[in-house]
Amino acid sequence: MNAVISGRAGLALLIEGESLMSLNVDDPETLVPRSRQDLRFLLAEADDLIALDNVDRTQIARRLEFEHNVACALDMALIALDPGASMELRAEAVSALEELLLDPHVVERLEVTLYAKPLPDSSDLTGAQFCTEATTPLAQSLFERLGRNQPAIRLVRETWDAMPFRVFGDEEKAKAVFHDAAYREGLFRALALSCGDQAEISEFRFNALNNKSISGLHNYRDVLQRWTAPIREKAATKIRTPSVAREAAEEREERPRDKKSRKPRRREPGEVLLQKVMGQKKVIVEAMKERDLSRAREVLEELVDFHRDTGRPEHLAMTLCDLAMEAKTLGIRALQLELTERSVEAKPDDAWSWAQHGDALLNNGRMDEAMFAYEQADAFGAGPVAKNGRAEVLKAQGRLSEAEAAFDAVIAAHPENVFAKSGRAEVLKAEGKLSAALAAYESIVVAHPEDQVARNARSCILAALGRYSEALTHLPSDNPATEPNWIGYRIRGMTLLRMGDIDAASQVFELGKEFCPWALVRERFDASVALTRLRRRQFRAAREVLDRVNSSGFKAQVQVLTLHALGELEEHERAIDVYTDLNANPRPFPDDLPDELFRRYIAREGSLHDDDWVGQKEVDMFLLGSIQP
Amino acid sequence: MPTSRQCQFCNNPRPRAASVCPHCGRPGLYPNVEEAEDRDERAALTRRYEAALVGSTTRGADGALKDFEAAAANSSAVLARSPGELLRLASSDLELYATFYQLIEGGVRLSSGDEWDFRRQVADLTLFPGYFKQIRFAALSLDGFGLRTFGSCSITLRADMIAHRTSVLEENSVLFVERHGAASKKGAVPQGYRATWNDRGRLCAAKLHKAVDSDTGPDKYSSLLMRQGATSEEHEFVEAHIFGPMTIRTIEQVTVSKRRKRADNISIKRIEEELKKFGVTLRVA
Repeated sequence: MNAVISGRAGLALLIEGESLMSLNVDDPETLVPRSRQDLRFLLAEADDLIALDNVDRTQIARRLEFEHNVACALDMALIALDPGASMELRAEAVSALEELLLDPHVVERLEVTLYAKPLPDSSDLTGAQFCTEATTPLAQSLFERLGRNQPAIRLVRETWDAMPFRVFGDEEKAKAVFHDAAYREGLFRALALSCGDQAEISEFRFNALNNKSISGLHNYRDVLQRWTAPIREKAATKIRTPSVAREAAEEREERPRDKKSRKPRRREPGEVLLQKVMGQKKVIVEAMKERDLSRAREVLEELVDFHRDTGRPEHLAMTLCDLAMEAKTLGIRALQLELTERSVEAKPDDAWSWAQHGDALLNNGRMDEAMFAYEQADAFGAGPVAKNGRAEVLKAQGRLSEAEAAFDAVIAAHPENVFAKSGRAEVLKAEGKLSAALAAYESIVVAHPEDQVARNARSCILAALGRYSEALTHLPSDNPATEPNWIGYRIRGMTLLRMGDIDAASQVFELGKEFCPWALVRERFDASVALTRLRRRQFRAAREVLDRVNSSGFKAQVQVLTLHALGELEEHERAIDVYTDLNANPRPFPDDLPDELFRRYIAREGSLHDDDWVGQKEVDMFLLGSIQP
Repeated sequence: MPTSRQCQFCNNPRPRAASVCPHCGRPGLYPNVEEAEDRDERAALTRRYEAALVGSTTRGADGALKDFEAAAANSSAVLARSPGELLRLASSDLELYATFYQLIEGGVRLSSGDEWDFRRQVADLTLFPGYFKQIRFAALSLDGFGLRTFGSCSITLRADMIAHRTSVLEENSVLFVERHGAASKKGAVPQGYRATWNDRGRLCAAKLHKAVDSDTGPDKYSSLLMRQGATSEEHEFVEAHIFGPMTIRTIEQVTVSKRRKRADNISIKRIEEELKKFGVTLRVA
């Protein structure tokens, strides 16, 4: 059969003889009979029609899915660039874009559109880049390239626009026809990416001359020659944008002079400002990675000054929040908190800053203040982010029924909110309602099959229920790449440990401890290594590992393992200290394991359970606790 | 049917199709509403309505029909359009919702020249002589959804913005005109099938009384009033005709279905943010 597809409309029309049917991307299993007069509405605004000949239904559905992903990626990029959209939505769009960009063909097709014209003045590339974060490297890179290539994109477009109509032939629409073909074949993008180098421009021209969609057009040789000639000339003088480093150096030199003369600073193009900010942020993140916090703070002060001179407070707040999230990813909780404190100070009415501050306080174990911060975020309009944050605080405080009710309220108001649904499932898990939690995660996975966090959580419960093969099916077995991949990989290790395969589990944990790039996840691998050492009765080695773990996110679990190791090592006094501290704070797992350890090592009343029971409970403590750092 | 009616101001005859009195220049009411308010038209509707009540009483369904009528009297005028068209409207309260004819005259679109366009124009000339370019179409709905082949965004219009200028017709006007041979000669449009906005409940009762049994409950009303077909000819609904312009401020609510993909749902939220600026709510059902 033949088909016409529109990714924008999310619809394929299937034509077989006189019969006309449609297939919707949301429901590819169902064919709907259609009549001709409905086409204008079904394909409203569809400027992306693709005709397919001699294809079957599966091929049509697959192509429709891809084309729809391309259209969605463009929509998400445009929302991210839209200063009229809320920052929360723009950040969501960036996150959704990241998922779509996992397909490199989508990236290429998206760039074909984004590189066809320079961004309009009304777009906010700076804001889009502020919305990216460590977990969205593909989107970050896309916007970074888009910004860097704007001069080239503008040059290619201006050169095209300057070509007279007569070059394209006598037909009135000949230039438009050529334009559409050039756009569709990605020539605008290809030329923009080539235009800094004469040899690459020659290669572009060679490829374009041999492109059948182009070589069928009137006067194509002359058109390509006229299009590329001025760009080749410019390439000889290198039109690239100035380097960040040079601009930053100029900025540093220029600033005292400006201050002294008290003259208003020259307004710089947004693009150069953005590059400076991005450059300094990069230096700060590098310093954080090297744990050179004094260097990080030094550059941060420069960046804050720079923002205060040139930017708006919301941009400063966004920069600080962005860096705070980097600090969180790197496990530097004190710096995360310091940054969000400054963010709130810079823009006290910024909902996002308050939400980030709530997260930082929560990570630092300052529950009451975290609750206040989330309430502030809510008051300034953070919506479900703030409400979910409050529920997270309640959960961390061990107020599980209140947390469940809080998540329920978010779900009632925002049924699509996957964070609330996951949060609620986490609470059910912490309450020991494993079947209900499993059902909750199953429904999330059905509604959001792309959500690996939910898949990981589901595997945790399956493992705790002893359904090992089901648990392992959805967990990465090697080469984890993303943060959720690494978390899933750790859950694989926990599952193997629960199955009694200590060697295989140990191999997983050692790999994670060594190679996981996410500091907070890596800390959990450290704790997991301690688990295997306890199983092997290597108590001193276990204690050494645990002494190095310093995460408030799973402090209680680490205290239990430490208590176990100290008890076996007969370090009675320290064991009492650890137990006292453990008992003084809420913990997200039942009392039976701490009670058993108390009986064994502190009260010395003997044991109620055997070592295997203790081992399983220690694994469950992690499986059934929060798996996200 | 007389070709003119008396101007309420100068008492001279004003052609039915004229929205302004050619003699005193004062505006008339909305011609589609005037047609529905015509004495003979109302009398014919009353006869059909009373016959419907009698029929229902003999089946013991008169109470159920009255309940359905009350629900239909609270129905909304809903039109379905694409997200792009909705975003255009939401971009400014100076953006107008244009009719098919205005789009063609404005050079924004071309007539496809297909059979349906022809049938549409015949029906419009028959039912709205002289003012068809001013008529916007919607469907009566009880659940906020419009006819989905026309777009994924169902737009509920504010009753206080349209009640005075809206009439309703028992079915798709193209099919109505063809079914009754109304285009064949002047005055062939049967009476009793259209009503004013305030009489829409009675029209719905007259149309659907046979489908209302004693056990027909409120849960069935929505699908009784509007049945979605796969093609526009297969839809069954009561058509609303709104005279004159509409903007984003004419809209009360937009209803969309939840989408499978996260990105699509984010696009919906973007629309929601734009709509919110004009106090229009968005419902995801």
